[in-house]
Amino acid sequence: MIKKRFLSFLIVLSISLCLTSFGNEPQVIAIRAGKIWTVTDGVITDGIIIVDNGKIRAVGQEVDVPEGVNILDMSDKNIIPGIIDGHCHIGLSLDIFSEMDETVAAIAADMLILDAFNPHSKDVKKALSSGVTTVMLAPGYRNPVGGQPAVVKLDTSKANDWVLKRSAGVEFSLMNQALMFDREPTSRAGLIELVKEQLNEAKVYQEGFNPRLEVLNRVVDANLPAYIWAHTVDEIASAMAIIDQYNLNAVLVAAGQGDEIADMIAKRDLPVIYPPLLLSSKDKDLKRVGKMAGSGVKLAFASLAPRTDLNDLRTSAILAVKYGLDKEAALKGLTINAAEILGVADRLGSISEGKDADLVILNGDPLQPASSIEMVIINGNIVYQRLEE
Amino acid sequence: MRIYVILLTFLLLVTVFIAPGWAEVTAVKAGRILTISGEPITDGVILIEDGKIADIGTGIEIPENATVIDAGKSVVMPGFVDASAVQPVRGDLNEQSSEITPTLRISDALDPQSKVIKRVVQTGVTTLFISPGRQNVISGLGVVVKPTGNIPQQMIIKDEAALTVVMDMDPTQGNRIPRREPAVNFYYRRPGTRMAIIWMLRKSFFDAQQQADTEPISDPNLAILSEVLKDEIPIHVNARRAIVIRAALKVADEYGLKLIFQECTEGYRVAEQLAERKIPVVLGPFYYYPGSIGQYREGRQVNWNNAGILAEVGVKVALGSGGQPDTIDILTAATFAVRHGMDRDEALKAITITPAEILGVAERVGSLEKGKDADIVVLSGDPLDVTTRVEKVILNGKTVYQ
Amino acid sequence: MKSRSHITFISMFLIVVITGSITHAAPVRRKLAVEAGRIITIAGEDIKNGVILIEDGTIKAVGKDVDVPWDAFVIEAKDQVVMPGFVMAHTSSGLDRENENMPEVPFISTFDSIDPISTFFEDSLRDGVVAMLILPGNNTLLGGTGTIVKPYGRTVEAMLIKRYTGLKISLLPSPNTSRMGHMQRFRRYMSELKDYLEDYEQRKADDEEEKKPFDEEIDVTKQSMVDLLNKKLTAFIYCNRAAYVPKALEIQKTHGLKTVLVLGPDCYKAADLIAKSKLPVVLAPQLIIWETNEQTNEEEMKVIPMIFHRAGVKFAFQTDTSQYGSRYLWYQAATAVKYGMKRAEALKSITLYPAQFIGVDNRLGSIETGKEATLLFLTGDPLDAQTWVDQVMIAGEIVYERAKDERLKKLLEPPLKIQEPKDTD
Repeated sequence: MIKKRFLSFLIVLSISLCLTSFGNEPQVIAIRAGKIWTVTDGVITDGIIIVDNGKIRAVGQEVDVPEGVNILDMSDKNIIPGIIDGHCHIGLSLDIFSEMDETVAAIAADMLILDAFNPHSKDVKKALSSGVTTVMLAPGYRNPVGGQPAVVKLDTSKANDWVLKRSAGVEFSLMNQALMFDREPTSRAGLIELVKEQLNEAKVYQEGFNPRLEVLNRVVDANLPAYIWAHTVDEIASAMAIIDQYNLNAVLVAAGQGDEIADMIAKRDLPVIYPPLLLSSKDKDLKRVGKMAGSGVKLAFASLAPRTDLNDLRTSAILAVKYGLDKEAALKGLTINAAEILGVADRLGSISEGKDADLVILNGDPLQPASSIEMVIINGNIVYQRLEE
Repeated sequence: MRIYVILLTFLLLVTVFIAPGWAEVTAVKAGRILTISGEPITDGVILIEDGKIADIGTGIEIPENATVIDAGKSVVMPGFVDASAVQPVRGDLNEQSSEITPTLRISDALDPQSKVIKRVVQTGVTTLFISPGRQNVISGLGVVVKPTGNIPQQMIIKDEAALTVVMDMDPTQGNRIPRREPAVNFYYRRPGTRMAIIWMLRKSFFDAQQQADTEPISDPNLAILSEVLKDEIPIHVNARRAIVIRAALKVADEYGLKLIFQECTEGYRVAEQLAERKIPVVLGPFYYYPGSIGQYREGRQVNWNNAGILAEVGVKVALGSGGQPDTIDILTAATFAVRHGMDRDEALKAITITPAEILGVAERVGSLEKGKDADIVVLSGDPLDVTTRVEKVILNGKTVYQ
Repeated sequence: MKSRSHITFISMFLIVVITGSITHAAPVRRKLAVEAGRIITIAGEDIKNGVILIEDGTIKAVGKDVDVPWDAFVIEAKDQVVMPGFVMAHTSSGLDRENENMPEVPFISTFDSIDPISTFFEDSLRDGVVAMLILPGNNTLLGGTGTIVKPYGRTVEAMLIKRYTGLKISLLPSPNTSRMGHMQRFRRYMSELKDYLEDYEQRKADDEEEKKPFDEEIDVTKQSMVDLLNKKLTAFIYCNRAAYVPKALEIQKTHGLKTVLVLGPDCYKAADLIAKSKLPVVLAPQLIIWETNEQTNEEEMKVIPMIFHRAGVKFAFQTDTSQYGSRYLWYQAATAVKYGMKRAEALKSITLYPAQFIGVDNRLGSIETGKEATLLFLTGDPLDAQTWVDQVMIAGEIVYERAKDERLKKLLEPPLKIQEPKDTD
């Protein structure tokens, strides 16, 4: 009697174990690649990456491949870390045209951008096919004191933890686009006054029930990062004045014309999330990125999709190289720099031991326009594979 | 070993003592120098060091290593000072969400890349006063700037230079929009009449006065108004018509305010009162015909000799471009003021030292004197001749246009 | 009997003489001599301390050593400068409305809409303008014919110098039309006109053949365009941008028209093209424009009269009554001199050249024997901002005196003192 029950128990257990083991992906994969661009440790030719449970267990030329492990043969391919989009607004249009800007209230500090994100949107698939594995989802530039951006991985199909940061900071906009004729502020002076007023209130805020001031209070303490949209020289100068006055831990967003005062930006160690470089941009604007980087400013690329209709961040990096940025800096701009700025460099941004296995496989040099993306891996899972033509 | 120490010390001493002599000096030689502060100098020299005037006069020795700018027979004047609300800012000058915005600082909206700045410097203007717009009753704090620099902070020479108040019909135009609150209504109306404008002004100063004994004042708006009541911040009242000017004088009496008038188109009708109270005036856009401007149905009268009549009874008159630096240059304004009856010397002062004094920056600009900023305009002939052109403009000792 | 008729005769004679002298309280003097400190003739060198002899409104002689007839009335102007009056080759001011609503109205005339009491005329006379060609505005394709008037007179007839002068063609597309549509409209009109003329000539020829009297007149709505084609009228073609200039030149060439180009500020870009065409030009009132240099990002000033002058184009100036300086023709000339034009040439552009462009140079535009005695008496050099027009003489008659200009006095002098109302509270 007991034996029979025990036997059925064993059978059930083993079946469930088998099922769970089938449900799980192969625990360990080895990827053999022609060129591995680690970003932080140089380029490895004919190397191997061992992926274990979604993390990079080892990477190098002389790496032992464990017995019985699946080998992905990419010996004629290039592998780079998953591209990180410094700032975009994808998946934010569900019912209305776009939810990236809050156009009724000028102050939206307590709003979470994640609340408006649609993980199944087509934008996400498009991003993946462009090699983008992680993005900072952010509010647009129309709010002087905007919402809280988030950092998410684009593998939203699995139940694992794709939200890396639910609230990554508070977004501010000092750009002229934050001025509207039918909603305050209508003038630049009014804009600066509004931002300062909010920060002043936040500074003296005590414990209470005001979520807006609560989050702003944490920004003033140089705790939570402030992402500040500022494009032209005067906007950037206003941003720097506010950063100095309130001692903010800040990042400049879309500071495309900052090259003219790049030394001031570098002196403050202000990182910059750079606006996309487009084929339609003017020559003189494309030259700016080289000057910026040359002054020592840390740059990460952003697509600002879908506003600029560019889901291909790689093009920004390629154009930047053409106009004066050196290749190493360009690749860093797509990967480790963004990871460091967004505060997720412990997990992302390079192909290094211990980091997440987010990889992009190309059939050629990543900074050559002719190269295409063949496969994208997130947490060790293949999330995109190019169909053979 | 010792010899090296001696040599090193010697070299150090040499650099310490000789180096100052290597400071950059520029000398400007000109056939005629109009200092404005004193008598004109014939065949004089201006020595410039570190952006300031180190010496000025005749028979001055020019150091050997100095850069010499020989202006030949040209006439040299201090750089012009435009005290009348100009626009090198981006976006709207007006904050539409409230009619009373004393804390609005137009210096936050400065744009050094503005085309206006680049053009105005070519007409010889080296100092400008920029005021918030004219659509609010109390529109905010203006700033005195120089047309130079990469970032706004480098342009400013006096921030929070004056509070701009508008008492003519300009604030009645358009609708207000909600401020710090969600929109609950279609209409947020602006004051529709002069009474309402003056009421808003009085109320603001009244509230500020109530807070006079509190220190510090918590409401930032009232804090600024309180500083105005204490004469710590000057107040510029924009008024065109005589009835509005008179109303402003009443408010000034009630609150003990020291006024400065901007625009003042009908100033000639109240010239004596302005002279009596020692109220300075910055004249703005010049109108040839009486009547309305744009949509404001005012019954405005004109007198072409407004500047002359005011100056004659002793009012301090500054001539400004009136916010349109592109179409009217300040030197032409002075030339026409003289044509219509203003005294020559008064007219030249009206675009240099008088606006500098009104703006409170006269210790730096407005005349060519030792110690002042080296802001210099070189003209091809008499300044009040319409065929004279600006040949060169020097700002803070550097040539910025030629 | 005889003494009575003598007395009657003498008394009647006396009555006639006395009434005659009463009615002619201010006799229009037949002979005048103007003694001026400086005479700017425009036609030649300036004359210092010269004399102008005038008889019946015409200049009889001008020079330094001129014999003054004993019966000439002498006008002393030893401390003044005398020069020919200014001429405006094109303006649309002084009309009640500048443009008609329909695009093709070449048959209307500004003569019918000039408003003699418009302040424009009072101001023009005060500022030394003695003749202006008033044409329709810039918003009608075929706007109508113009009228040359002097800014003096209570009625248009009294002001009239010459009717039916110039036909305005504007290449500025009407609202809701594109340039293509606008040009096509013009071509269609001309093609229909030519068809009409062909038919007309055919009918005329047929009648002549049959020895029948031909008394059909040209359709009154087409008459002015026919005169344009026959070079009896000059076309004043308005181009607001450089892109329209080749179209204007095409029209001129295709139809062989006598043409004057009226330009917008942007047309300086076509200066060389215009110079090649050798057509006379009227500049826009705005003489200075700013452009951003794409390469250096610097603001550059373009001085339009100088660009045309260097290209070799002959031009006349226009004014804009709403603007500070450019409301005065002398200011426009002074601006050109400021940026390098020679004085003599600049002064011609406000006197002789506009007179030539509008066809009144036989009478106006310079001080020469045989021309009309239409002169300005200035308090100083014309290009000096401190100079005022002291008197204006038109055909030997003083029609403006600054000393008697009440409106000017009011605009320059302090107001009468009024009792300040006492405060009641």
